[in-house]
Amino acid sequence: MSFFDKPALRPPIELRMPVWSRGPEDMVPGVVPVALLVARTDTHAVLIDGLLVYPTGFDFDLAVRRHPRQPRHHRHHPHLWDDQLRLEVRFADGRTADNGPGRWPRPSGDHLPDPPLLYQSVSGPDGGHVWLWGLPPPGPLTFACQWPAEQIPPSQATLDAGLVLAAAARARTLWPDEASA
Amino acid sequence: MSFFVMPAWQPPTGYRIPAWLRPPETMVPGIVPVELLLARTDTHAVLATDLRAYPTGLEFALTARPHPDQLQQPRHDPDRPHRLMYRDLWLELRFADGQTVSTDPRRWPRTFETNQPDPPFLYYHGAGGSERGWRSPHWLWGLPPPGPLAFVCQWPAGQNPSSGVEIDASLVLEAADRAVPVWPTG
Repeated sequence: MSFFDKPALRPPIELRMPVWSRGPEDMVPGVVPVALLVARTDTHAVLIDGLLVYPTGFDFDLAVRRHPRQPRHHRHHPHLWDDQLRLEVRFADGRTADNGPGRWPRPSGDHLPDPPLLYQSVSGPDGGHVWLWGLPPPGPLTFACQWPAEQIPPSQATLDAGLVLAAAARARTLWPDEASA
Repeated sequence: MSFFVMPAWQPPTGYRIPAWLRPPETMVPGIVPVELLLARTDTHAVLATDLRAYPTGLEFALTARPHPDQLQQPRHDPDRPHRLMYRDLWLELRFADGQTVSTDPRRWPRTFETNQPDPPFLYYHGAGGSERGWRSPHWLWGLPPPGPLAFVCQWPAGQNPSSGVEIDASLVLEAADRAVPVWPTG
């Protein structure tokens, strides 16, 4: 086949990401009406808010706030894991997930990894955006963080997982007629 | 001084975005317990999500999501292929006292970047997305008065002339009351 006979380029047949890698885009999530102050020092604070829940897991924002008197540093050295804000989510049954490197499995067909899995899709000095695959069991849901590079010691805040489960029950599909068809 | 001995460039320090253009950084917001479906067609849905209230205003995201069958379609205006499809998605907020605010920059005061406008003032700072959707952070400077609060969007390129939803502004006002300072003593 010559170059001129080549078939036209076609987009990939399946563009959808694995269901465990992000929230379903064809749903309106349920909102958890709570913002958590997870850590606070004289210079920094770490917030968890924007908890949006689906039947398969939940999204949230990990926000770093600086005290107004704290000058903003512009770092130019390489981005190292040791410099990063570390986050761990703990379920009441003892299972945990964190934003450490190398925790995200490779997609492999229809295999679903065991929840919980935590994926931080945005990461930077102001925090990031996080997806957690899997819903917590009833009981305390703990968010723990530490950031040695900014002198934030191990800190944590706890939420009643019932708020997350109730929000998951409020999530609804965007195109319900097709879902029921 | 020659070019080769010029001092290294230093990023600007001390500048802070004016309070009327962004949420306060030193407050824990009150979460407004709603997600709003503003419009839905066979191909797209438009939502207002992540509503966070502060004493000075309301932060939220205007979000557009394609129908799953549309994920492989280009996100460009078919009539003007050089323009992103979501470029013409505009939002208007309508308050119980008759005031309205809009993201149409033609309705913004000319000096809004340097001079504090009278609230309410609706500002958006950037937008981004992919074939999976689009998201734009919005900031309403000033809280709505009690009564109905309508979110109305217009999106000609998405075949959506005008649609929206109405909520009770007390949801926003009560959430604003729940906001607390991160550092209470300043």
